[in-house]
Amino acid sequence: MQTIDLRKLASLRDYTNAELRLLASVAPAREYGPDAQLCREGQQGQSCFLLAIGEVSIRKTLPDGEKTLATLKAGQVVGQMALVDRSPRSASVVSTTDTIALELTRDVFENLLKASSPLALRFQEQIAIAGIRQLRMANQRLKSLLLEQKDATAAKPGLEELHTISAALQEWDLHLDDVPDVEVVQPHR
Amino acid sequence: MSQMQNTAGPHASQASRADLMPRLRELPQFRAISDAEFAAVANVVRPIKVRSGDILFEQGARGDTMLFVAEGRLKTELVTGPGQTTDLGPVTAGQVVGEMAALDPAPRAAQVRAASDGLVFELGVSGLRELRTTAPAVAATLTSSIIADVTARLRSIDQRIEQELNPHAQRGKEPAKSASGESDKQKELSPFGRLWARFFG
Repeated sequence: MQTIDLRKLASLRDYTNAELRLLASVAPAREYGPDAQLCREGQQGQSCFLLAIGEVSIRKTLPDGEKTLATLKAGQVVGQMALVDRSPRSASVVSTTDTIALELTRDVFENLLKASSPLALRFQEQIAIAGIRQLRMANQRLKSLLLEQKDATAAKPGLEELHTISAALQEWDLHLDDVPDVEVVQPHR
Repeated sequence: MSQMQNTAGPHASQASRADLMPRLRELPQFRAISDAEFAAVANVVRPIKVRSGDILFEQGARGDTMLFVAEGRLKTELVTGPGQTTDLGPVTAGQVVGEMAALDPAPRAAQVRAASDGLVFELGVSGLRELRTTAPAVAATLTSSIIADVTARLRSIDQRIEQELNPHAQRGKEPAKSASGESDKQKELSPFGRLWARFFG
């Protein structure tokens, strides 16, 4: 059985041992080979993923074909919008290497939150901060575009620029930290 | 540019603080919480009496607090040049402004000015952290509300970008509405002003 030392993930540095143990117990580790889909654009999201090992790409279908918007590595969290609303996934997440991800479902998260679990509160704060940073980044880019559009001589924003903003929107980067080994199970999909 | 009147700030008498706290209790965010939770909240917020024209948040200045408006009306403005502002819409009693900075301190994206005399309650990043221990359910509710608003705004921007990328296919798709909704004042703004208001208000 492969084991993961969550303590090695810099993003989990601030977590207490108790919180990390709880995280490991409520968020089962899923193992994926290269080119496996963790979530699919347009589908209802039920969970978010903390990448423990490996790398995933964020892919979105655009008018000119599927584009890779961002690449996320171990320690980062992806798909956390599913924990806070019930909208369809805005992009697909696909492994580019052998990957192990801890899956935290919305039901588990909500139950922890209801119980005022410090882990859930910490996770919730980080979801908020990650979202706020994304929003600020996207705002900055959009602000530039709007100012350009306000100028009658300026052209509409280019595809490249819009892809860049779109990438910023998808790049959820949570900072979580350390814990004991966790059991790795085969993906249920 | 007048300064904010901190008449009920740290130097105000305890009697003054105590007198103002029932106004905090009336706010929708704190109506349903227990007395013990409210005591924890009251311990970390600061009541501030404001006068019309006071600048509460200065654009570009580092912010780490949010304001709950108990009385009066504020307005958010984007400073676009010396003496020039774009109105981003009002903030009225019961509403909150500046909440993102209370979780993640950063320079203010817009200016907030008092449009009338009023009363606001200030909650800072340290106060919100303290609430996670002293009143975790309240902290969770406040954070959830911020996340919901941020998520709605993110999806709105995403849809706006999709419309730019694919104008014909996306026309029928309305942008997600912010959790706080779009005010009548915002609806009166030009399309450009409304975009500002949606993304920065």
